[in-house]
Amino acid sequence: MILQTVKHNRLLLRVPGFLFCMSLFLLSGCSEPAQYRLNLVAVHKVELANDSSFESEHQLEPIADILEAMFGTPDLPQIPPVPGIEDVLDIDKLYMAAGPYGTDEHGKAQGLYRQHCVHCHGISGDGAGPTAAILNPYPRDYRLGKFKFKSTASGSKPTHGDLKKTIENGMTGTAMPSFKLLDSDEVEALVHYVKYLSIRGEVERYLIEDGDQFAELFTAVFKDHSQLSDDEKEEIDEMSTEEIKEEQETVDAEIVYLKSQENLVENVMEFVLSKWIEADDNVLEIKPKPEMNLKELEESMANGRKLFFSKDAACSTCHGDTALGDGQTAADFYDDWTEIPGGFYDPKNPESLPEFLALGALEPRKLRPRNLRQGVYRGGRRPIDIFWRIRNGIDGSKMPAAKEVALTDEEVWNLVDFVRSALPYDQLSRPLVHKPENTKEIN
Amino acid sequence: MMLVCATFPLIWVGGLVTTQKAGMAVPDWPSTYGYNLFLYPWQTWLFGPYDLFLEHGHRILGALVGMVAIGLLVSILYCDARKHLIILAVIALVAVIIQGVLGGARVIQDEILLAKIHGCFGPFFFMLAVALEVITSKRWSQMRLPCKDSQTSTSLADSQQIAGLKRLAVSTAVFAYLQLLLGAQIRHISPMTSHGNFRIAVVFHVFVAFVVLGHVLLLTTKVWRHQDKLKLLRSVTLVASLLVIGQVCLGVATYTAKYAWPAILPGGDYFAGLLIEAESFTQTMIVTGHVATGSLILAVTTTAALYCFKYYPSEFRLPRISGTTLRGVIA
Repeated sequence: MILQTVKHNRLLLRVPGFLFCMSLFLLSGCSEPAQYRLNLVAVHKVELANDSSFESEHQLEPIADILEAMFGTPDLPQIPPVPGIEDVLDIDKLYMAAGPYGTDEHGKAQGLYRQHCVHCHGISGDGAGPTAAILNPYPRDYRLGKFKFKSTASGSKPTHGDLKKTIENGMTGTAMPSFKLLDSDEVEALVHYVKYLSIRGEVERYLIEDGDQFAELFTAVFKDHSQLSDDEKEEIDEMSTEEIKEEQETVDAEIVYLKSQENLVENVMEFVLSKWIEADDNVLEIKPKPEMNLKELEESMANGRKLFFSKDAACSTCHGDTALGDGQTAADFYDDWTEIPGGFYDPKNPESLPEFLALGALEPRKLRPRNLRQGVYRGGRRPIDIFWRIRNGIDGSKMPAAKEVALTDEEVWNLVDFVRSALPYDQLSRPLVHKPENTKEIN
Repeated sequence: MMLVCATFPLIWVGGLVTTQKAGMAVPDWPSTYGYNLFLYPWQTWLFGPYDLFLEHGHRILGALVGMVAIGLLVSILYCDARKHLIILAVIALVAVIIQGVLGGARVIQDEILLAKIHGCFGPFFFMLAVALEVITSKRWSQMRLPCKDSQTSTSLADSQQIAGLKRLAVSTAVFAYLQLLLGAQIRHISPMTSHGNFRIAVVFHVFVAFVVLGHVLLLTTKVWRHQDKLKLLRSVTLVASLLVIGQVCLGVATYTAKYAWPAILPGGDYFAGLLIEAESFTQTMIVTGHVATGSLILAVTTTAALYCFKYYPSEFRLPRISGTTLRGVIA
């Protein structure tokens, strides 16, 4: 009966065909093997600044070769032989985090980065993994070497412990989960891999952006006429064939030098690695928060309130008079991963944005100062965490570090007390409404 | 029924394997670390690493479903050798074998594409198992055909309504499966997938969710309004509606458990303090529950479609009404 029904019903006959075609369409496309992607956004930024495109054979390929020779591949990472790097990276831990995920019979995990992190942070640590576009805030791009929540001074690298704390505790209110259910060994492996991707990314950016590396090579002498910019055409047209040949030899010699251990160890790695090695020395020493009785706490909070609205601390400028995070006065606030010079976007000159988006950059999003009345702090809610945020600022964002000449430690603690204890927490059933972003009403 | 009862847990455990990324916990196939599937030390399986427990358990359950499929074919051959039943049972057996081989190939090749196909074929097999259960059940053979009893009283409008109902029932099941395919795109992500493509997959998944919801609600409304005698169909469509509504909520919960509260929805302030815990029991169960409910919806909508075709078989033709008669009726 069923077969007769199917025979008599064209609709039923069409359905499997439709499903089959849809399946083929949706499942089509073999998965690309995991490999690092060149930072084409940084390349294009330099191209626009120099009005000259990178030449594949003499700029892009050598950069990719250098990176592979120094750092290996996503399946088989390696550490460049540079003095001091063993204090920062542990190759055994990198092996544990790299490669395809799985476990051996004893349950020892492998491929942890691809198991837990890659879908958001991307195979190259570019913060542009498959899920990145649907997340708010975007995942961190490690390649800039900047991390927001740390115990070290503004502009310094985070310590190993800072990164570990972020991975273990996660970030409240964001897609960054807490990995406290993982073994300590596994978290350690992830911390090392994050540092590895960050160092690799910084080396890559240095090779691309620094004036003494590949950015300034006169590769126009190798390019087709159609690839030349107007300035390059002018220069090439003025050169004789011998001069072009001579210049080609010069560029080749420069590339040999740029690829040499001398350049890579003494210039590139020295520049990048030294800050990571020094990270522990840049931890801010803080005296423990003084014990207070209720009266002292009330005084501290009252002083914190004054400071919140004062010119010295100027917290209310961004966080708003009501601390809802709606006091931002700047017209365009973007983070360092987005805005030039660290990023790719120039709010005053947005014409080139589509070109960067086509290269995989994420749509710029404006920064929103934290709503302090929710009691939610992404970098941790302990008093010391908030002290660090005020004293050290938040790298990559517009939250500045409070200099000691402007705010003493005691005054910072006053602000911590005000933020933690004096601000009313909005009831979940009745949250206050933000003022329109980027406006400030003078009360 | 036994096949369905064995397959649904298999879908759950299969979902858990993907959620926990335990697919590669056992690197060989069909053996488990060199052991025959059934001879692997049970102590290591039960008390060893969790991902090994899941993957090996998934394999054993798969083998069990295969054996039930063989048993079903044998029992149909001996007890109820109707041609279409034999064909369906053979298809089910072939499907479970293909699914097993796909799972094995996914392990040996460590290939995401194969994982996607394996993940999409599982619900298809479940749908097949449910269809077999429906067709071989007592209630199927006892179902009344109300149209045959009242042929003469059936109007042209009824005939169009029935055709529309059947189309709607089939398209609901088709969209339910399409939704599973889209879900597989989101679930089995290659690290090299671009964020643009992933966003498109998510947007389509959300869009098709509302298409399925609309279809199911419309089907239920039609059945409950016009088919008051078809109690089985009414129950099945009601269950489908409840499942789809629950599934939409589970979808939002899955997104929240994985990526925080969706920014496009209002109420973000209520979830500002939410901290996601990777690999937690809650996260795993919500995500896997969403996957398993998808298969359940496919099974229920397929059942609804089958009931529609059973109640209104195609060889039954409603009496043609001439224009003159129709005008007379209208007058």
